[in-house]
Amino acid sequence: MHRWAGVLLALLMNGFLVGQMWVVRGAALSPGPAEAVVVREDEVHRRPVKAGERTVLEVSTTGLLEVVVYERTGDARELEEFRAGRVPRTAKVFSQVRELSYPLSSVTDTEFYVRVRHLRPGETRLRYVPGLVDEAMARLRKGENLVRNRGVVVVEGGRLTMPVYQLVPGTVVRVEVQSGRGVVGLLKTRDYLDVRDGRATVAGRCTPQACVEASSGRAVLEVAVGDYDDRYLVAEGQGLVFTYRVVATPEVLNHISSCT
Amino acid sequence: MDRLTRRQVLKVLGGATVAAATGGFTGQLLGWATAQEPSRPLLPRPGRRVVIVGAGISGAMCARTLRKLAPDVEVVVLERNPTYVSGPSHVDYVVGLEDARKVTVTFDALVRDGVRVIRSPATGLRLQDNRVLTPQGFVEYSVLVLATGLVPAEHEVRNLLENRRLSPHAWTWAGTVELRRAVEAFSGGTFVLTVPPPPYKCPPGPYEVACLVQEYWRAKGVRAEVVVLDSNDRPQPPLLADLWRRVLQERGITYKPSFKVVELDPTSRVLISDRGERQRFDLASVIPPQRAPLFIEEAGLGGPFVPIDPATWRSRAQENLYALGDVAASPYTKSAFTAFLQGRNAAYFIARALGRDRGEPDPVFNQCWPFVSSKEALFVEVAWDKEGRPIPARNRTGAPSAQHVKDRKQWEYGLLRAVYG
Ligand SMILES: Cc1cc2nc3c(=O)[nH]c(=O)nc-3n(C[C@H](O)[C@H](O)[C@H](O)COP(=O)(O)OP(=O)(O)OC[C@H]3O[C@@H](n4cnc5c(N)ncnc54)[C@H](O)[C@@H]3O)c2cc1C
Repeated sequence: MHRWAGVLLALLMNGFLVGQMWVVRGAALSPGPAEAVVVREDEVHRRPVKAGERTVLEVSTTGLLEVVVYERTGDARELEEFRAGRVPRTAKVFSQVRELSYPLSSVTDTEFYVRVRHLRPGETRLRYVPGLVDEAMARLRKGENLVRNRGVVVVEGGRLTMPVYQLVPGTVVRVEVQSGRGVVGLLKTRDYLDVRDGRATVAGRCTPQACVEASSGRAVLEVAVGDYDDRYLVAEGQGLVFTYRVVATPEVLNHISSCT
Repeated sequence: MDRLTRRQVLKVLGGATVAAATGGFTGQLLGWATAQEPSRPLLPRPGRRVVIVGAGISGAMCARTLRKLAPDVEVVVLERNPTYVSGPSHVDYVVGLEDARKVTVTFDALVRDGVRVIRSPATGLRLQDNRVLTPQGFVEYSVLVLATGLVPAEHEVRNLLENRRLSPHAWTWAGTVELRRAVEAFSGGTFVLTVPPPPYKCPPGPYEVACLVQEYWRAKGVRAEVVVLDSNDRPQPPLLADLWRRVLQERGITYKPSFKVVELDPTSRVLISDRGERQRFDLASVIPPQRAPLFIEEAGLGGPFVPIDPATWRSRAQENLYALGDVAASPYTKSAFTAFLQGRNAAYFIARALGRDRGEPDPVFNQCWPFVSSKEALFVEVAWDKEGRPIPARNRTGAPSAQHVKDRKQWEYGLLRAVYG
């Protein structure tokens, strides 16, 4: 899903915001990060997360991955699907990533399930960094920025598209191209659909504010998000390696809602 | 509420100092062209004048509270419609459970309290001159309060605007009336209702509509499949997600999460998601995303909502501007319940800003009783501290019960009496 995590509230489900309402009593300080473990393809990793916790999932590989993150929704069929190696419709899929950092939190006690698939073989490590929603909120209140999720993406050829999660007004998406040649854009739904359905090319929907072109390596794109429109990363090129970060600024505090 | 008479409506118009006859304006601000800027003041230059745009729950409550807290301050309300229909009753009206006359109110009580009610839409803002623009002239203010509620952004779903009649929804009053007609006329087939991403008015509302229309058709013997396509990964609000899932399953309503509808194909009567999935319908009710009216965004106050300090409702951008209720970017639920408290509380902070310190109001909380059938409703409560921070210990939910239906109607009629009675 994607704003399928449904902005505000759902924001919560997606990351730290929602969970903020459910403080874990007695858990004043989060423990240190657990050791990274080596994971095999298609193993299912289950991670219970208590209301108020904000556990950051970190995955890295020497190869190339598709990572699927699924939060239990109460629909038993979805969990079966996930266990059977399929992708339930509410799961989040991160494709062609070398590194991924993604927060797991929820408004109620819940369970997340993680599975990786190697698009190129390599050694893959996974760890969970525990934390609390309140800690994240406190940092924003102090005026600090906070990385909500982050990935290192590789496009060896052709086009990659993926939804960007956890966007609300006040977030900034920063894309840094490290190497390769091509274009990376952050398109709104309408533009993304035009590109996907062949009504327009990526270049045809790119404005300098929303796209960056790399001819030989380094280039940076920074997009300040001021609305609730969904956005999709669209990248085309050869040997393109880039990092994207979704960064919450204190401005997001204006838009946090419980939507109850 | 009393039945509305023509005389009452005329009285509201007559009671207003300025009766700006705006003709048949019915609905959506999106359609307003930015007309030539009016050069005529509608009212004499103000002393201390608070202008409130919108006499919905938050605007009307703010106006009346301000008159009490600061009787020497002139309060002007600009309202585009002659009457107000209560939002929560849109849901039960769709299946004939509510009588529109019982939940439609006039602005008489505001006029009685000494509020000037001008029946006219605001079409623009000139913040540098402290002016609200209307088609007839401008109104100057010392303090401006935006309480316009939201407009549906139908243009965000391809082909929806052009094919509204295929897909009426209950998130405007005109749409509610149309949906009721369509529900009554429905002779069977697939009804598809879609849920936008939050924030939207009344998060549980879409699931309530789905449950009630299904019950209505069953009772009439109409064979209908009810499908809910949700942009979210679970029913809203999240605190009620498990209860909703159970209710939808028990009633045989097909629920598809993470299905964000981005296009309506009117020829094949199909709704299409951003992933390219297709859902056929005989009758649809696509609830569009919602945002502040265009004139607010055009004034540079931000979109889709107006950023405020949730402790005082003061705009983050303008010293003498406040935004309340649905139109504000705030932590508070977009609901009539909080709109009432927001209107009341903002009045305290506006009075204070005008030199009338009347103490500190209690913080905002929200209660909601979503229908799961005509006989039973759920319950949810959340609360915030005075800075607008959620208080998790106050979260409460309640399973379906007949008492919740009673509580809901009692609350809504009481709310209308408190604000407009
Ligand atoms: C289907 C449905 C079900 C709901 N159920 C519930 C529920 O169970 N419980 C609950 O608490 N809430 C419910 N709500 C939500 C509730 O109705 C709204 O959140 C609430 O009315 C918001 O109040 P407001 O004052 O912000 O705006 P509104 O009540 O929308 O009032 C805005 C006013 O501003 C006027 N206006 C707008 N633009 C202009 C302009 N340019 N110039 C002049 N006037 C203007 C409008 O005519 C209107 O009178 C429901 C809403 C819907 C649609």
